[in-house]
Amino acid sequence: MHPLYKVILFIVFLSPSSVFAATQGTLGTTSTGTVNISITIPSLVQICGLNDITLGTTSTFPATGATTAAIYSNTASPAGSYLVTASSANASGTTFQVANGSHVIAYSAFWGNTSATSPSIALQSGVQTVRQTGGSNSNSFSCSTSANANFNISFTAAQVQGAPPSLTYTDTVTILINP
Amino acid sequence: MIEKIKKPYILHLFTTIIASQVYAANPSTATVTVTIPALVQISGLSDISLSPTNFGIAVTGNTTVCIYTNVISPLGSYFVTATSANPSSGAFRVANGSNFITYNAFWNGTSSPTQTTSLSSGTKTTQQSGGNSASLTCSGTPNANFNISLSSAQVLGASAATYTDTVTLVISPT
Repeated sequence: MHPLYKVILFIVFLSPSSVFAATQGTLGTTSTGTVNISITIPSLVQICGLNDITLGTTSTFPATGATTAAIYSNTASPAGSYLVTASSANASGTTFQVANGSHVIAYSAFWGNTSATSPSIALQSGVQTVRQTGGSNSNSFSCSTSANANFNISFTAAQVQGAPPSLTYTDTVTILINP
Repeated sequence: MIEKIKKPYILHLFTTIIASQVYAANPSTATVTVTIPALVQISGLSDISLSPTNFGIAVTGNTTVCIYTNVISPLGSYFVTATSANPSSGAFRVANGSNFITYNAFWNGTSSPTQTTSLSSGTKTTQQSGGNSASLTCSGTPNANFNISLSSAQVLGASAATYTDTVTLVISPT
């Protein structure tokens, strides 16, 4: 036998369809067949429950704001884990910035893997975090379930100094969750 | 020479006449008895492989089936016993190691994937109808359906992985 044929036969015998194939019954006083069932559940994540952060006019620094979030993740190992990538619409490199026209203020952003603002890890715009834990893989997951994560921001006095006053600065942060 | 040729013919004629007379006087019959038992066959099964992408609705799958049965009353009737390889108190389950997802299994007496008869693992159904009593292959036209369903809640509660099960379908006439 040509060596190539041996390789092909070997592959055929190992193919899943050969190993896991439905079996058919034969004629008799009873007849038995089998059906193999396979379902592949992909890695799934969801973020919801976010709120906008409006700091208003503040004269106390650091000025902080936060929103809780609900994270669903069916990642198996570690259970409920996920990765976060937060991106500022007005980023300068990896720095988060609010803007009013050409005027910008840098700020710090953080992610917490509980609903509390602490502990949190510092975020860099557009940079994926290390793996977070604490996501829910409950079968009753919905945005009405308890928050299990936190996105929070902070403006220090040094960051706001030099910014033209009486202006409203805004930013949109896109938070990407992946398994 | 002529005498030598005629003698066997005469003997043969005599033998034939005697045999006919014996048969006519003593006719005999042979009674042939064949008992056909109630017979069934299940075939045409296919594996069910699911890779869901829409998790807002139930995940479903099915295989059509050919059932042959020579049961007379009702003609084409049969019973089904479906058994999961990973059952839990009558529930069908797919498994990945020690992780399980419960799913629902159904039998329908036509080829459409309708959730007609809810199955309990290891429990014989009520009498089904629609089996083909003329063709072992159902003349190429399936006449039953085994189908499964997983709700979105059942899927969302499971960790990402491939889960499998083997369901044994036993068809019986009674």
